[in-house]
Amino acid sequence: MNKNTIIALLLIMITVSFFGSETYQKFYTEKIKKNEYKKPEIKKEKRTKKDNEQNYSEYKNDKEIKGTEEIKKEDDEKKVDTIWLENKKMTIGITEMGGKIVSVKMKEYQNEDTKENIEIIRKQEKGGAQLYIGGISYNEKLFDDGIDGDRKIKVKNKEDIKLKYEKDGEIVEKIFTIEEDSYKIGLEIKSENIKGKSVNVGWEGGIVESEKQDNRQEQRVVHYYNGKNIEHLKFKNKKQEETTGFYKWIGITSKYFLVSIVSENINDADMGISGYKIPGNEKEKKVVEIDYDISFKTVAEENYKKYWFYVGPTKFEELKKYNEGFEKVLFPVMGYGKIFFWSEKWFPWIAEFVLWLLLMLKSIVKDYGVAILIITIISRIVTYPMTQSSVKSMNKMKEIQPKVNKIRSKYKNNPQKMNEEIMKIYRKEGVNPLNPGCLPMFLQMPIFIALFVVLRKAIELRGAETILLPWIKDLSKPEVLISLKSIIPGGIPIYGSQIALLPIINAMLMFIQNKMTIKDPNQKAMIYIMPVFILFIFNNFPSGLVLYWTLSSAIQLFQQYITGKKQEIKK
Amino acid sequence: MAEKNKKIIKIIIKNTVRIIKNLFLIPDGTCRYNPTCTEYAVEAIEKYSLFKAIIKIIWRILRCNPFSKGGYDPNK
Repeated sequence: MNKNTIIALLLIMITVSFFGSETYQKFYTEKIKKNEYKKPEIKKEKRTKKDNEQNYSEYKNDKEIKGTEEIKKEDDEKKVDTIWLENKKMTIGITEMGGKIVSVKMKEYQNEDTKENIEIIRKQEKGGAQLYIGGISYNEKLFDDGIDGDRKIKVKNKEDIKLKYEKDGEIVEKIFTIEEDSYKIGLEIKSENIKGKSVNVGWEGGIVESEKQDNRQEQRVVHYYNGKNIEHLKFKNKKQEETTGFYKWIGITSKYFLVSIVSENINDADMGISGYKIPGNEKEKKVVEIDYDISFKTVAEENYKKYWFYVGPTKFEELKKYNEGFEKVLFPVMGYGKIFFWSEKWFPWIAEFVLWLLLMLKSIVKDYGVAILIITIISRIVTYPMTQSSVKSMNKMKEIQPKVNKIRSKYKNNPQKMNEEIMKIYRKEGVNPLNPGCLPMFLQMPIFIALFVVLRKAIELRGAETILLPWIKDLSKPEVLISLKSIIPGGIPIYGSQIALLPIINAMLMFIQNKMTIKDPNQKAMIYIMPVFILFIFNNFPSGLVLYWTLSSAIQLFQQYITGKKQEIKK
Repeated sequence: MAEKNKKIIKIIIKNTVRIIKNLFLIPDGTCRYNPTCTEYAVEAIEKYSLFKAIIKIIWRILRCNPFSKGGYDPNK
């Protein structure tokens, strides 16, 4: 262990943790504030036609307009009404201005802090279900809903809302259909006496990132599905990404939610992501806000078009219900993940299996923590023959190690002779033929990763508590035993702003483990460095995963101890 | 500069190997070979170009399975 190695380890730790740390986040937001009122620089953009500055001012306005109440006020002045539909799962607001969806609130999911139902639409004044016919926007035109009385409707069975626009003989009708127990919003478009043939239906309001702690990392992804394969588009700090093609449905996901437009057949779709930066600060690498924009365009010969929207959680069984392949958005393999042997084909299956197992066990034991414990024990039992023979031969190797070291120092200047001698010893002692080899160990890795992904992505685990560790509020988030927020506002760099117990236990287990096994003097420093590393890395991991890891290494340590004792007795 | 970068990358990879071994709780006695896959990987990175080293490491791990003979297999 030399100086370089220590520096490198530190480097890894810093890169892994720094960009996710709250210190960085805070540093970054302060930077934004400082630069807020600098002179704007206008740049033409191909797709949005709007420049960065305009996007940014819209973003600021949007930040000021909070909640639907204020939108409603504005509506009153213009005599624009909003219809509020409520079914078992969500509340939907549809405005007469353009017949757009301006609000979708999840009744089953609440915001962590405010405890209010989660609003899905990011930009409510833009909303969803935009309509363009023949390139002309119908989004600022006043539709009539034909409702006289109460505009708050409780959906029983099925409800149709008809919005009609009529001027100079032109008629455009938008009919929304909402069912009692579904995340589906149907949309039919009828038109008369309109010259344009192309119909364009979009969702420009984007999607909210509902989870506070994930704000630091852009999790939103655009997905498009052609009936067979799913593809993904992610924002990568470029100014914009866009793509077109023929697809069955297109959608945007945040960490836990999906907004999707579904077409009756495969249709011409347009997907765009545009990020924008603070005006006048083009050097700044990070973007303030990212717009997501998806739309379908079709030529409507018969003046009639039908679509539907899915606006709801990315919950596996819910997504599966619609038979559209929505469940494929849940565990996508993107970017570098794809280099691992067609992982986009098999990895989702593993993740789905782990999720299924977790939910199944939860339904029996009624506790996610216990379910994770059972999964740990199962995986330990499955790999027992492997780990057991590894442990046995490890102990044997430890016995030979002094002899090997002796030879190493004896034949320092004659590597060939050294190798020969070492080989002799191994032959004499016989390297355990039961050694499982490293490959099987690597085959476990996808399951580890699947558990990691499942804990982070599965909405069922959102806010999951456990009786095993009563202070944990959410197994899908880092554990907080003692919050440091009031003492050190920015948190400790890399480590974070909370003290968690499990990573500390884990680091201790790792220390004992290393103390027991590492005898090679070259690796002595690892005994101390690895536990520290583990402590820092695990501090910001989902607590469910750290629980798995802690249990797993505790079992392994125990196994090593017992086996070692038995081997000693045998002699 | 490029040389220096390469050196840093190599050091990072070398330690990533060790971290993976620790993180995935792979016991020391797992490997069928001598030197073990971890030692082999570290050596290979020191000895060869980055690309060649990675290929060699992958090939070694693929060989290190219950059906292989194992035994003495140093970096040549």
